[in-house]
Amino acid sequence: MRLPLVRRGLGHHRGVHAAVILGVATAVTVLGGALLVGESVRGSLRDIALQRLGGVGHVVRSGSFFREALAAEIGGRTSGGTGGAPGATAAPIIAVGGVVTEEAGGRRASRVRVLGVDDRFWSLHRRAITGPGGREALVSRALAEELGAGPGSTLLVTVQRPQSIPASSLFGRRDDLARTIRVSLSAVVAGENVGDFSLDSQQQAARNVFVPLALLQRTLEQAGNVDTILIGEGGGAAAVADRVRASASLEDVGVRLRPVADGALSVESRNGLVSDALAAAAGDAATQTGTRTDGVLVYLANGLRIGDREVPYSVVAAVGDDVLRGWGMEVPVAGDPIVLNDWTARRLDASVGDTVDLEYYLWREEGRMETASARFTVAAIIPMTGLAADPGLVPEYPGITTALHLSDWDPPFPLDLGRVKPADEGYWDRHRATPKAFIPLAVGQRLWGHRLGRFTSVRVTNAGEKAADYAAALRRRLDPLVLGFAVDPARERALASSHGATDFGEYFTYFSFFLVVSALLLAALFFRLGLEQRAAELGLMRAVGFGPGRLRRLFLSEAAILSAVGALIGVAGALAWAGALMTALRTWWIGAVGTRALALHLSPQPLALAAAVVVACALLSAAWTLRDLSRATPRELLAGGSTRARVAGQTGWRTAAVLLAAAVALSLAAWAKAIPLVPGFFGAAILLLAATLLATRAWLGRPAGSLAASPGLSGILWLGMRGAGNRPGRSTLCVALIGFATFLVVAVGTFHREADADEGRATGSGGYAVIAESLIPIAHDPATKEGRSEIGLPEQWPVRRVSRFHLREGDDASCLNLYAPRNPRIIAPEARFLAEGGFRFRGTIAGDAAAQANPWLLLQDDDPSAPIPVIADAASMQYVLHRALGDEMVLERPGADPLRLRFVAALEDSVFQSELIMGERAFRRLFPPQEGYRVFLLDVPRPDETSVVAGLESALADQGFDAVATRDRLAAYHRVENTYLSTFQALGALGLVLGTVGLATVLLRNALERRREIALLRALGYRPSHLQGMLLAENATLLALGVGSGLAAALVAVVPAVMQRGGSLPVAAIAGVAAAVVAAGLLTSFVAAGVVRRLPLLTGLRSE
Amino acid sequence: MLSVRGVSKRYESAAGPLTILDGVSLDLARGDAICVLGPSGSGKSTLLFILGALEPPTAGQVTLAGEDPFALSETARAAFRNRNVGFVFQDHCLLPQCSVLENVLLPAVVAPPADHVGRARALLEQVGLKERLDHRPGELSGGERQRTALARALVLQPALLLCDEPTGNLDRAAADRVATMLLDLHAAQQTILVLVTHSLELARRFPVRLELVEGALVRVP
Repeated sequence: MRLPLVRRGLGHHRGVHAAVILGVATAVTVLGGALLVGESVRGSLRDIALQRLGGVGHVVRSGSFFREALAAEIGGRTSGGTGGAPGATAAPIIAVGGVVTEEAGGRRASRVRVLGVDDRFWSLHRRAITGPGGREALVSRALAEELGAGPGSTLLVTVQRPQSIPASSLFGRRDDLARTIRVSLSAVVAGENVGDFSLDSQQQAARNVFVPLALLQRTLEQAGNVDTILIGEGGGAAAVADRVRASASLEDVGVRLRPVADGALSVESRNGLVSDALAAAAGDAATQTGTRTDGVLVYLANGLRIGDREVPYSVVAAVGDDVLRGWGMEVPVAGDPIVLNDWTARRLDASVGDTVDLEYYLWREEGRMETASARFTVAAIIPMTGLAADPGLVPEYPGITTALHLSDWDPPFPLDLGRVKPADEGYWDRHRATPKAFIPLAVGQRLWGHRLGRFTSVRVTNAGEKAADYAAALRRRLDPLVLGFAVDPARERALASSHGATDFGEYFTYFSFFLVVSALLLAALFFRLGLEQRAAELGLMRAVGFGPGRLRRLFLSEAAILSAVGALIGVAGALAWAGALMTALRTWWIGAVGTRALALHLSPQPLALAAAVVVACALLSAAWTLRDLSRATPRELLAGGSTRARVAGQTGWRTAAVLLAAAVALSLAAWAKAIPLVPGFFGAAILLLAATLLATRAWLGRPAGSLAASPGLSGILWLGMRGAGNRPGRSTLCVALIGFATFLVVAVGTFHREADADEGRATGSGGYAVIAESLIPIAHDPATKEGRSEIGLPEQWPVRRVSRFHLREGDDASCLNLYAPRNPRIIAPEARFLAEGGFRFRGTIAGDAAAQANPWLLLQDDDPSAPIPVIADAASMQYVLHRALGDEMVLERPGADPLRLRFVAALEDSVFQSELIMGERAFRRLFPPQEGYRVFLLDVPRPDETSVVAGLESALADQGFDAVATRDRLAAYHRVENTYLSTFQALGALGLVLGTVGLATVLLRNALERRREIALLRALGYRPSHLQGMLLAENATLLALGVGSGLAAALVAVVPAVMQRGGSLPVAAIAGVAAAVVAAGLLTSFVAAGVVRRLPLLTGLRSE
Repeated sequence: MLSVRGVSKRYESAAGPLTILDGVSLDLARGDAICVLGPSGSGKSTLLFILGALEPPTAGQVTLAGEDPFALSETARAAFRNRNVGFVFQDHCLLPQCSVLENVLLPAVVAPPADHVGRARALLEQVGLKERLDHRPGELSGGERQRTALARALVLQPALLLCDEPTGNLDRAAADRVATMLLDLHAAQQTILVLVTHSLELARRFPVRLELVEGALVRVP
């Protein structure tokens, strides 16, 4: 019997049931759509990542260049050069950063990926593309668009010439590092043809230029070398790593074994410095092969001087004490001893016991060259034989050791050829770089030791015919994966990153929360209306013997069927809604995602989840409504009686008071900073909203003042307000709908970020107007006149203050990057920046007063055994990295222990949202190859920063200098945040629409239920305008309660934002939203009043 | 003076035009009281609604004190009803959210200012509800509700009092009490009383009894 009853009930009351179905369908649509958007964004990110990777599975990279042939050895194929085998499993390429200028138009693009490729690259990706050849280039679509370039355009591609010798050492080159290639653009490569090739996790447009591998090798003076090998799909990272270990040669890992005099070998490093690890390996290999090793450190003295006698530009070697003793040096001697060769002793007229002053250059990493000196005592004078006559003690230094004459030197430091005498030239002609003096190794290391290595070579004596064995033994002891090689599981990493920093499904679910709640409330409201309409039917069924339980089951069955139908419709709606949201993300809300490559990805799971959740909620709300059935008597029901909730007024007031007290307590706790500000006030706001809704419910159900005291218009209004209280539960639902929506729209609107009017130092820009990044590290200090001169900047420049940062490239850690940054970009400021302080912090874990006042000081800690302190922007930390203050983050490092970082302070709305900031000392220790400064903050007069930016970019074009006003950088971050908020608001506004629909429905329903009452009033002489006024008053009451409660809660929620803005409240925005809500509400009132006006009077009086 | 001249009322139905009233004429002066009898569907209520300016006739004319309400605008007609007509319906039509006193004062809300409260209290005292002023309709018996409706109908001292089966839902004792009060108050206020009913018992208390037969009024002995 139940089924026929359910079927007939469903059919007969199809009007109100259609409304229930609509409510459920709306909720499923919104929730399912939100979840599907999350799935789609993840899927799209995965698609983008895979398209950009093409056929790449793993990538082998090294900090420096290695043999191109290694690719074939690792890939198991013969190196094919151009025209390589189709489907090659390994492709050697050069991948470096660069700046590209379109010659004709002069448009310039910085941060371009310059890829030296040949046919093996396209073959790996299984694309039928060849080249580029000769002096041609291919570019990605995004780069072509940015440059305004097309086939035939001439492009100037500027790249950094790689330096094997570190710039921080005396012999490292700090200038003239840029090289420019002129190429002709032959074609634009589409994304589907791997034109957007990228190994980085970044969804923004890929700016690639593909140039011939051979051309780039020539330009970079790296003939036959590459810095990257792309490995095709298949196989694991461990297998690739094993192949690298097996195939890499000493040369590939930057180690050179050079035969020198007396059958000895010199173990040298490509960077001119032998690390302790290499020295240890060299020693182990010697032990195994029965040879002996001695570490040597050579340095260039500007002059050796005794009195007014000088020998300029002399190599001094620091050697072991054993060697010195062998030369007859007395150890110890007074002061630091020095052994001179006899040629030098003659030139200086030196005798044992004389004091020699040694003058030399020291490069300070702060960006300046200093002249230093040391005093030695001549301990011995030796003939130029054996080791003392071996130029092989000195590694090869480009520009120096390769020069035929001393006057041909091209060193990276000032050289005064006026000091060079013919005798000095004669020495060079005969002995080249043979050291003229020797000092103890410990003294040399004290004076000239470098963080990258304490030796310049390790001499293997007695190697002789064991050279080959020694080389093999040394190679076995060197792990390429510790000496710079890294195997990147690029595909696996990209797929992991594509889960995203931001779970859009989660965000849209949050954003849609009120919309879903509104739809569910509407469904519940309609279900309740349907039940109330059928009160007499319920009464009759109770009267004929249906128990409350049976009735509940009967109506729950109806509700289940309605919910299921609604859910099915909602699933279809969710597909459409998700499609619309994805379209919005590609267009209106592109500011939040920065890519148009987002597509809808269909998946049954989110839809099933949304349907299940909403149906469960709908059934719960139906059960809640049906609860009243068991309380009403059959007589009440037969009389069309009430299924109203019987919340006692006193209970309602009391509960509201408790919630209000809790809200006040929470606010005070947040104000006193006992709990976090934003969650504290937001929680207080929610409690306040709940309190006002409960109070509303109690107030609507209370006995009102008398009509006797309200004649005329006030009487009409009184009647309207009494109407609102006639069905307090129903009215409270309407108030809740309006209140939630108002709260959402106003509260969210207040959090919109605008440019900071304050341009002082305690702001997100730190008072700097410009932030810049260079492609090529700048070693000299632009704060000094000498530094500017070296860099090529004018002596007078408009910059009042400059701060420099080291940079280690990595994933963008800001909201601009949708991918989860697994290897974030890191910068490290110079020491003076830390001391100056500045910027605005949201929080810090500083314990002492000094660090609390200036949290930058926390970066000075550098305990190798402890996590490295880092500072990040609060928004990036919270929303992208998902960390809190005090949390740690682990960075995997190839060939080294994972790096533990600890967040010690959080910047507030700063220009540093894309990176983590680390102390300089720790940075140098952890990332030794990252030399010089690449990120700059410039304090220039506002509002002239635009012209300064243009001037600097032009002056430093060769360095690939890319400057931007800090306000523009902040605006880019704000655009993302504001777009999210707009999204939230747009969905909130939809919630408001649903609220208004609910209000109109309740109003109309009330009017229809009271048509008899309205007919009576008309019979008593009430004019239509009176009745309209009455309905307006009723609606306005609900509207005012809804808007008022929503506004009150919103005002509490926005306290943190107001506090951070120095007390200003966006009154105009709030008034605008409130006005829109009221206007929408009043519009529904007029509609309802219009319906009432058309109600047939006689029918009303006759009907029952 | 209530003057009804040749009033007809026809409705369109699926089976063709349906004539409810057919040339009804009637003249009543203040103090007159008539009772209209007739079976269900005979047009009694329709006649009452036409007399009360709630529904226009298809043909004919109705005037009260020389004024034709159907010649007035809707707004003016509403004011006419408020000023001149009092209604009592079979099921009292009280607003559940208002108290007894408030229900009685409902017509006063849109009437010109006067001591409506005092008159309402006096009327409620006359109908025996002095102690129930602040009670809600849900707390009253059927007879009390109908007496409240009677007080509401008379609070503005209308010239015309129209009652549609005022005792139809009441038991005999309550019906008798309501009828007595109705006639007493009519006599006291000298209204023109038109009452429609099925109840012969109630009808017998009226000096003039008419019956609607095929749309026409026929005097009942």
